[in-house]
Amino acid sequence: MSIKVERPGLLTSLQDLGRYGFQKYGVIVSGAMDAVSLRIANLLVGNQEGEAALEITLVGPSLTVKEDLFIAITGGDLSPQIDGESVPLWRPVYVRKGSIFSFGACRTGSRAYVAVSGGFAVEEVMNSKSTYLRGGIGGFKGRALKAGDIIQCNKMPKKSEDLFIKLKNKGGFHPFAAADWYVNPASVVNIKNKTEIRVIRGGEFDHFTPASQKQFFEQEFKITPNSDRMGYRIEGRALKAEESFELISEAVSHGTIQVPKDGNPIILLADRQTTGGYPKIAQVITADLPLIAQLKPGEKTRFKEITLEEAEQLYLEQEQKMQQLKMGLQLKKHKE
Amino acid sequence: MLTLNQMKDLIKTVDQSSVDRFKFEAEGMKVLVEKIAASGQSSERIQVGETPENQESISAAAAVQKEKVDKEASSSTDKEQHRVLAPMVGTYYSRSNPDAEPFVQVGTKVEENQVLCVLEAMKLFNEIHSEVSGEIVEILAEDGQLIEYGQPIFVIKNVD
Amino acid sequence: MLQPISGGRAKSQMKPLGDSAILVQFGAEINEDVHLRVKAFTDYLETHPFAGFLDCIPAFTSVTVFYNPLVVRRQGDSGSFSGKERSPYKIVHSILEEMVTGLEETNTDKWRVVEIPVCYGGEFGPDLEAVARHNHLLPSEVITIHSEADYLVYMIGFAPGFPYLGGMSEKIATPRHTSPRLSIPAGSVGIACSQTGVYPISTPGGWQIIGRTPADLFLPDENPPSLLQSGDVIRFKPIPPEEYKIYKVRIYEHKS
Repeated sequence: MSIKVERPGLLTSLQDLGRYGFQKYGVIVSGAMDAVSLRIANLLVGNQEGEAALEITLVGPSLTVKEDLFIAITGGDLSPQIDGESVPLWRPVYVRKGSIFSFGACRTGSRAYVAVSGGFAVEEVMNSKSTYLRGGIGGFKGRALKAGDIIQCNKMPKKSEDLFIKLKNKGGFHPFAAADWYVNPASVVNIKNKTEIRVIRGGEFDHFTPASQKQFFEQEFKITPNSDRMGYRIEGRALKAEESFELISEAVSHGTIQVPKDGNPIILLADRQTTGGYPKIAQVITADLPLIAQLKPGEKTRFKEITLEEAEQLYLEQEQKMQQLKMGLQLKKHKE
Repeated sequence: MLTLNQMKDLIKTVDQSSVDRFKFEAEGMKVLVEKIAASGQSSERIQVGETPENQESISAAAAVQKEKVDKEASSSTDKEQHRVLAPMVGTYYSRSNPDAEPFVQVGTKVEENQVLCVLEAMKLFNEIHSEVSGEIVEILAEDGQLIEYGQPIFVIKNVD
Repeated sequence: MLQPISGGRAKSQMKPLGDSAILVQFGAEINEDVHLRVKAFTDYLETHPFAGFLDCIPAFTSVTVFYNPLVVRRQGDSGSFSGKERSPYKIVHSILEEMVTGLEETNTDKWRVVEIPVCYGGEFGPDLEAVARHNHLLPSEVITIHSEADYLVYMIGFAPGFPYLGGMSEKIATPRHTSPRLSIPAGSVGIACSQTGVYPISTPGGWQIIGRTPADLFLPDENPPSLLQSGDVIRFKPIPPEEYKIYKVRIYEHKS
């Protein structure tokens, strides 16, 4: 089964849940910016939730589907279409061989995920199929997709066949057929409050002036165009450290908010380097990382302080909701 | 929380027994398994909920059907009006998300297969389609209400 | 340069790095003593991973441990923490604390010496003059001071294969750029405060760039994927610009 890339879009790459175990060699984690959307896309088509999927950024690709496919599209609404007709997100979709799968205007969010039942046939590099763009390894040939690329897909798992056939019959000669049920992402992620990102204090929070500490939680920050998978550079009134100091290099994580000397914070994300030397004012909680992934340059956000215990609680609650969703999907497939 | 395998075993055990109604509570959740006979065909309904200590006040539910729902037995016999009955247990929502317009309102003219509402169960939102065309006369459910299997949700009047 | 250290108990302080990682601090200064404790802890942790352990990043004076809070919590529910501590952070804290107190330090009396060719200044080292000015030296003096020292590889981080080196002379210490450059070429040799290192791949960064090496530090097809490892000793060998391309080709051909 395969897909041909006619136009690659702005930045389309294969990502899974990241590359762990090699950070001590400086090999970064990478992986999906919005891991929850990736996982749900996979679950909708009967894959293991950590299977690699296409991560699509702002301007989507145009793809020719070479054989019948079973897919799901999640994440931001980048106006997905099949043969020019609007396709719904957050549900399993049968796509007929020969169709053109493309994207239009970016309506909400900024990143979409497309999972294919059976997953994409690429080799793992250091235990992961994620693309490390700057390192040139992993995913599809270690890079973003280009026009002319042909990506192979694996055979779909047996448990997905029933639903696939049912949708195919429902579709008839139509280029696609979608299930009449779907997942609502707001039931797992705090989408309602996407411009109030919850954080806990960072390791060097106390090194900032009291005025800057207060400012960090009160002001609105704007996401600058210098923002990408490595990190989002955000702008507000410059923050100041108590005295000029530089940290001895130490580890950073997905969600670390560091502040270089110019006082404009950087939210470190999937393609962050493993270590850094700038003071860390705060850490975005894991449960809110999907919200950051869906913000785009020009948009604004604030930060709200919570405790570590609250952050852990929110993470565990989110995982509980994912578990319920998984069960719901298992039972659904039985029914179909 | 029951694992999927435990849930499957439960369904199987109740199905194969002469027990009609089976309920148990364990830490964090309660389960109700009920057999409902309709037109000589057996089907089972399972309701999974969380004990009051948990924050979710509306229980998540899952439905498993062995046979297809018998349409004639469940549809209204009134020729002028058609009642749309819930094909599953779930929480009723009139719109696809809080910011959207409701799918239909009283007075809306609908076509066969048009989406009328969604019923949410186990975090999945199921689109409920109209079986007939006509005009919505009455909406019998409220946003966030837990709807039982077979419960009437809409009354549609034939307009021609 | 490295003296064997034996006995003693590692001391540590811990704090969270977000809700899914914990930073274990072994000292406040960069020195070989702390380095050996960092190495010992990392080696032990990797050979005795706890349930939920994902990865760790050893740095100059700290080791950061990444974990899956859900898995940690589940283990905590059934293991020795049941009923008591529900916070995944606190569970991991306990586990690591026990590990640290039980740790013996690694002895070492042998290490690898790696010679790295570097072309200093010009197009390869755009910040050489700034470093010289900041330290009231001539650019040629900066080159001499930088290349005559032996450097210990304390850790690999920041980019794949990037060595953090200890042993740089304070005479050429220079602060980072105020705003990081958006892209620095692969092989660039840089200085940030009292640290020096080499960029194995093209990446953004705030370091002062004084030269470039044709050597490949990142080896994605090999295991480990890094030319250098924690504990190696590096010597920089100055080469003239005309030899840069030769070295580049030589290394490439040597590989194939």
